[in-house]
Amino acid sequence: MSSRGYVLYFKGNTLIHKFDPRTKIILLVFYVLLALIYSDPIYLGAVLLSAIIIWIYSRIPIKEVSKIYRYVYATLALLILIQGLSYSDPKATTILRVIPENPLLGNVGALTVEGLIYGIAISERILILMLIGPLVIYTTPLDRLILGLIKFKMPYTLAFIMSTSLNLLPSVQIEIENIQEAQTARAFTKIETGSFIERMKAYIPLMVPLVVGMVRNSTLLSLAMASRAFGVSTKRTFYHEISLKMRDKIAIAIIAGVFIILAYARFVYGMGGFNFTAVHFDLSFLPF
Amino acid sequence: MSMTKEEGSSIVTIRDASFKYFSGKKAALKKINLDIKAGEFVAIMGPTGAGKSTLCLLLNGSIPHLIKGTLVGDIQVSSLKTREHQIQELARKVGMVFQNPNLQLFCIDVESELAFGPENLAVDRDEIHRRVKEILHLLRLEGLEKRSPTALSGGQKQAVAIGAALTMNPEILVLDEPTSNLDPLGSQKVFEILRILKSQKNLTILMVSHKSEEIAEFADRVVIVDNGKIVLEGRPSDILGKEIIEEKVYIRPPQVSELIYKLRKKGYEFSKIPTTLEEAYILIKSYLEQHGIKSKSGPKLNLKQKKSTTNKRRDIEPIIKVRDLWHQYKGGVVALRNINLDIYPGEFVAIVGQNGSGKTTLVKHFNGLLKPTKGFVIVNGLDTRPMHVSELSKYVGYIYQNPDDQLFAESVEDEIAFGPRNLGWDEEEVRKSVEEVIKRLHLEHLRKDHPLSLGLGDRHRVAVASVLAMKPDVVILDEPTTGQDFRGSREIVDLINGLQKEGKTVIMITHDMFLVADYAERVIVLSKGQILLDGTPAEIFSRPDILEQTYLSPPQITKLAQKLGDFGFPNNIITIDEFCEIFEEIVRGGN
Repeated sequence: MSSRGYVLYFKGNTLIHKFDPRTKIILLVFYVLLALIYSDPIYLGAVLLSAIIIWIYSRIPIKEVSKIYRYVYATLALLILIQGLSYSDPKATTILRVIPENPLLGNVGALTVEGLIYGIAISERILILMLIGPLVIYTTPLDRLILGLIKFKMPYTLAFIMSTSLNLLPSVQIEIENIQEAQTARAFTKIETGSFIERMKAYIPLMVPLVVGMVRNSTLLSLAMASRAFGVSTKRTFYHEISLKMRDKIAIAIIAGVFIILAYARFVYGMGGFNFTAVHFDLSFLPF
Repeated sequence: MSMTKEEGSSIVTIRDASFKYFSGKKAALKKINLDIKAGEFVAIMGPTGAGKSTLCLLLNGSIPHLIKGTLVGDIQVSSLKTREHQIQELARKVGMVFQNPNLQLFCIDVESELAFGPENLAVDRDEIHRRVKEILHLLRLEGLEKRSPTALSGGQKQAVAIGAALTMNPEILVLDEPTSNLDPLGSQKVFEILRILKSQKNLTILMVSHKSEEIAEFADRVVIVDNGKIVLEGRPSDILGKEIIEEKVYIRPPQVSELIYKLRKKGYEFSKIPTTLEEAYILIKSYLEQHGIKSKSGPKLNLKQKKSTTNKRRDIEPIIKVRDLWHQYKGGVVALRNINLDIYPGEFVAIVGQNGSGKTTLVKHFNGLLKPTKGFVIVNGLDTRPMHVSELSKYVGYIYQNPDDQLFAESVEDEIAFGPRNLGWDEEEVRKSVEEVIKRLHLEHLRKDHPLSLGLGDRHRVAVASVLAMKPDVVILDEPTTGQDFRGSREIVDLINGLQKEGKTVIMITHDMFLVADYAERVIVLSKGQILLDGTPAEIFSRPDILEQTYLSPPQITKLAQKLGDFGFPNNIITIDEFCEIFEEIVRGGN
């Protein structure tokens, strides 16, 4: 068929591809923790940069995934703006007052340097998570990833449900296309105007067949799964084997070492934290 | 016929089993009694809704463990009472293969799919590897280990589904219409596997199928189910060759059986009714030889020229004009290569070819769902390129394969009125048109019912009605007979045939060569995005060499005539009546 559906794994031969899924899950956790402990946009920027470098190194076809990130940039820009306008500390350095000062909103409505920096930091955190999560998924076959999660004591049933629903995404997409085509052939056109209720009503011809079909399919799927002994016992063997190689052990040791050093520096010496109230911005060079 | 009932030798024993679905109005199965011996190949046949699938679900314990309802009676499978053992336990004994290949494959690749069952049974890892390897080899799936099931062809998917059942080492394999959703190539793959299994594995096989020709080849026993009961049971030669023709059970008998049956009725004496092509060939050959007719390589007889209006119609302007049409999908796949085609008003055109040959891509250009990437399509004098589907739907009605992709309304009436209302007709006009199609499709008694609560046959009729209510000049049917039994598919095509008589143009995509032979005036064979052949069914089927390239095969009756060519049978016979006519002529000539 014309549509490839969602691609979740890109073959490759880089070190990232070769790592055991557990190593990659640890890498993911490492990045999540860094994104959480740092609040200084410069530190976060460095973390983000390292994530981008790994991304480029693992040679994931940027074209394939860029469509997913299409809306992200606009959302982040909006986020920065909103944060910039809603920093409530009255001591903050104001660049421009958008809404006149009033008792109800307090300092909200003034575009502040602190607000913008805070917005940038949040955006960087989101970007780090959005880069590193897919990186693990794109470089690991789904079943190995599940196996990795199971080794970390995630219940098999839960892991299986996750992987199956991801696997079935393409077929749901095809189903939606079929329904859309069938209704368009009956002169159906989606209403883009009118009230919210009217627009929602216009989706009924698409939603009803989709939901009914999904319920019917899930019944058939559960029959097929049960007849292949799914859920027979808690004991289960695994066809694929994953093992921690020397490179995994070295990588995990490095990640752990780096994390201990960075966390120590962060909490003992305060490196990477950002104390907004302590910093004063001199904006006298601005023309207004 | 009398069956010797030795409890000890039966691997499946069903005693007085009745079942009513929780939501069902009446019992789906009524007092079923069935014994299956180890190693036997049993075929289950019967109309849609007869209870065939329910019977399958009894065997692996899906009923009563997973599906709610009331079960009476006893079912014993390989000395386990299904009531007392969970499905997962019974899965060691009974492997299941379902109709829809997409809904039984859910793993990331073929290998994991095959390993899934034994993994769940906690089979030793090395043993799983051994079994996966063995099954890949047995089913000729080597090289596909790492492929995602979604990227396979229909036949390959079904082969993987069969393999996934076999890796659990079952004693019994149950297949519920395994070829109904497949194209001819896919069906061939499945039947090839069944042939391997029958010869190599000591398996008991139970298969539900509508395909009598194949059943005649494989089955040791045929069981016919109708209305929840076993109505006939016996050897294929008895059941397919005689009883189903006489008993008027709605199952299509093999064409050769029907032929000899008809000839007997006309007074020709044949010792038996054959069920396979080979049998029929020997039977007719020896009949002709006994009556002094020698096989000769002389001139063949001609069929009386069939009444065809096609030539006459060609004087007028075509309703669909396709010029230098190319279509390339976004992913880069070129689906159509330089198609040139004229379809005239009032024609009945069948479009055939393998999945991926471009059939659906071509017809989607007729209603504007797809636009040419090169060339153009003119419908009713209008270039489709700037037009939206909803505008073109006034002229071209597209009836989809699966009615469930479009049914959504609260009542059958509303469902049918949806299209006309979208076209902006006034309510008076809408009502008139809805009334008309309700009457013509015999939906009067269902008009207030919820479309989704109807049976498959009725759902299909409602879907057809909802398109016809828009009064299109051209009606496109995409695989109208998939999932339909003999009666259901005939009903639908009879209806479409009626439309054609009223002057509508009918375009039908199908894999069913019997339908093509009986109804179409013109056949277009597509292969790899190009038109391979374009002609009358008789012309198309008389070219088995070219058809073979695209894995299509002519109806059995045509093959029989072609085999008997030396006796003067022309190779363009496509119906049983035509065969009878020539046969009589040959016999008269010989005497």
